[in-house]
Amino acid sequence: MSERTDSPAPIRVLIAKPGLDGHDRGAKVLVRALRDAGMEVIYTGLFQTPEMIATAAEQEDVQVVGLSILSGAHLSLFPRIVEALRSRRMDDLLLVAGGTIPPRDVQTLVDLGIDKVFGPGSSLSAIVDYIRTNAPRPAAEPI
Amino acid sequence: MGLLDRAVAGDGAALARLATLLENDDPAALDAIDAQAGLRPPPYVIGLTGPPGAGKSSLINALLPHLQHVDKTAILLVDPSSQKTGGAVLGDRVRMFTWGDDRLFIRSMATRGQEGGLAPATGALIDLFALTGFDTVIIETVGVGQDGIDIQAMADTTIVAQSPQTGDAVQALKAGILEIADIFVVTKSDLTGAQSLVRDLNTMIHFGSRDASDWTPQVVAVSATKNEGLGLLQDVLSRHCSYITERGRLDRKLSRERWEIEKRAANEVRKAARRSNVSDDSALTRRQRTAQLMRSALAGLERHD
Repeated sequence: MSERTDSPAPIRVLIAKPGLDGHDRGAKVLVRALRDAGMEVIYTGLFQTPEMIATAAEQEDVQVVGLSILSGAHLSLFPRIVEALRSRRMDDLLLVAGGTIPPRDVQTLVDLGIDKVFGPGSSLSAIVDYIRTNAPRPAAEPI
Repeated sequence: MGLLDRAVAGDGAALARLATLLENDDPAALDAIDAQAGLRPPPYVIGLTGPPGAGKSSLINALLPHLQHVDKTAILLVDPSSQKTGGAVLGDRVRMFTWGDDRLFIRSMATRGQEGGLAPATGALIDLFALTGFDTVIIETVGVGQDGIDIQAMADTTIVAQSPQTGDAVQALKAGILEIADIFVVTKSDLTGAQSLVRDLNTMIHFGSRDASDWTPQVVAVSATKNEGLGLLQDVLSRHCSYITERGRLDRKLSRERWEIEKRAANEVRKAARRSNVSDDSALTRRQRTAQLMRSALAGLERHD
């Protein structure tokens, strides 16, 4: 346990399942991998609306939101999620997405404000490393 | 405007950020809360504990519509941190369906190495919720079995949830969490065995010793999926809330602070042990090495000031 010190606070990540996906095996595997990387991972469960995801991200004060989607509805759901997050002024979030997102849609999602898309076949360690490297550190604010 | 003023004015993001700072032991945030903590009456704190899988999160979700007379409710959901990596899966939100109710604030917390079923910042967050106008705080502990009774120091009303088909009357006699309940909830009351669990618990309460003026623990059978027993649970909760009175809640606030300070001291010792390892110097006695560790913990705490 020598790698643990008491100073750096764990990275907080929200893993969310928007829409009507039938299962969440991939999301659960990722949740476990992020936990094993020392992060605190809040998992929403299935069938989340954009508003529920934004509320959870705000209340949990996460630095990272990961959207997992298998239904093919990413082009209609993600704009609403990005909008719900922006309307709560959560602009400094790292926003990543994964699931069955075809390569031709990736640029559209990046233009929308998704920082990174991990398509089918992405390795867990690549996702974990990306989050660890890019999770923003919240700016100090006066109390 | 600073974070605290914004949170008091109803800014949820500012409230959430303050919660993070308190969880991270930020000295300025802790001192700011302490400076103002006496300004508001403490909220009514309901603690919910019970073994993993007993149905605690589902019970809270089902109970919420019955607490509608309450203006603002905060829910703290505690899950364990991994001993090995410090990471945590906080999964209790899965059973919460809030549908964007502004009067509800839900926060997941990891135990961050603390034993006893709660997170280190639980008490500080209760004070934060008091300052920001919450009337009720519900705390769900890590699923604990026969130990982990810190919730009793924190909560005005302690609910112990037990589901049927998990044990027998002998289990019910064991010390630990069963002794701390003001209210027993037999969850999943639609399953067979629920009525006999209710009977066993009532028998145990009947044979327990208490003074005539003491609260008699109540047993309520609830099915969250069938929406049964929740009205009765709400009645029992409000009876217990009047039983403890406002004076009792102020006393509880003091006991919460004592508990938290004791835990903080233990956490500082644990951190010191991780920072610089416990001495292997066999020329020193165990007692001397313990004293050395405590001096190092004190030095670590004072470095913050």
